[in-house]
Amino acid sequence: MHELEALQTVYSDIVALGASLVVISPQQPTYVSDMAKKHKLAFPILWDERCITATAFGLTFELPDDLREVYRSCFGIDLATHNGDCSWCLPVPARFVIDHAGRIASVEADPDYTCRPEPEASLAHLRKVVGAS
Amino acid sequence: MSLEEKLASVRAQVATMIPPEKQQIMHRATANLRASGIMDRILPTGAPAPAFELTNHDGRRVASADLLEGGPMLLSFFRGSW
Repeated sequence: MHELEALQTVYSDIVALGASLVVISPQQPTYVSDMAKKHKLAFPILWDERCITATAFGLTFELPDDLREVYRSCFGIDLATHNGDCSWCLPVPARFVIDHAGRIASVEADPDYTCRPEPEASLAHLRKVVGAS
Repeated sequence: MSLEEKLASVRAQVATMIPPEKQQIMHRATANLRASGIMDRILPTGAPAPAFELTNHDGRRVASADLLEGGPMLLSFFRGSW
């Protein structure tokens, strides 16, 4: 959640560069919609049903059984309900800059989901791509 | 406050709320994921980005090809708001 709020703070900079910002999540739109309104998120948050797009980018993994139990008992999170997918798959949190030709210009990803790149770092990658075109 | 500072405070909060044996499961899962070689499977710089057309939370369809016509894209994969 902090990450999406942080991305919102640089959204006007992204638009000013003539670029777009898109968030992709396996979480069903009904859950996402309330959050987007509450935090006034202006960018699209797209539903990646069964992590199909995340899989195409090489990001998808399945949570092991013991971790599923921790999510249920300690955090009250049932991913099967949230995602509408009984497989408990998630993407590794990742950010890509894609240039206008559709090529990946930068990748930031970490299997430790508690680490996220600063939005300014992603913005710097985007500026390089805009400057090069 | 930077994003990392906010996340550090979340980490500290989780460390006080969650029993140590459950935290161990979480840490082990992250270590196993890293060891699984997933970082080598993530598409690298220079690779063509897979196209997508997905539904926004407001019901609109959004296609990557349409957005890229207007300029470059910052694409962020998000686990969920839970």
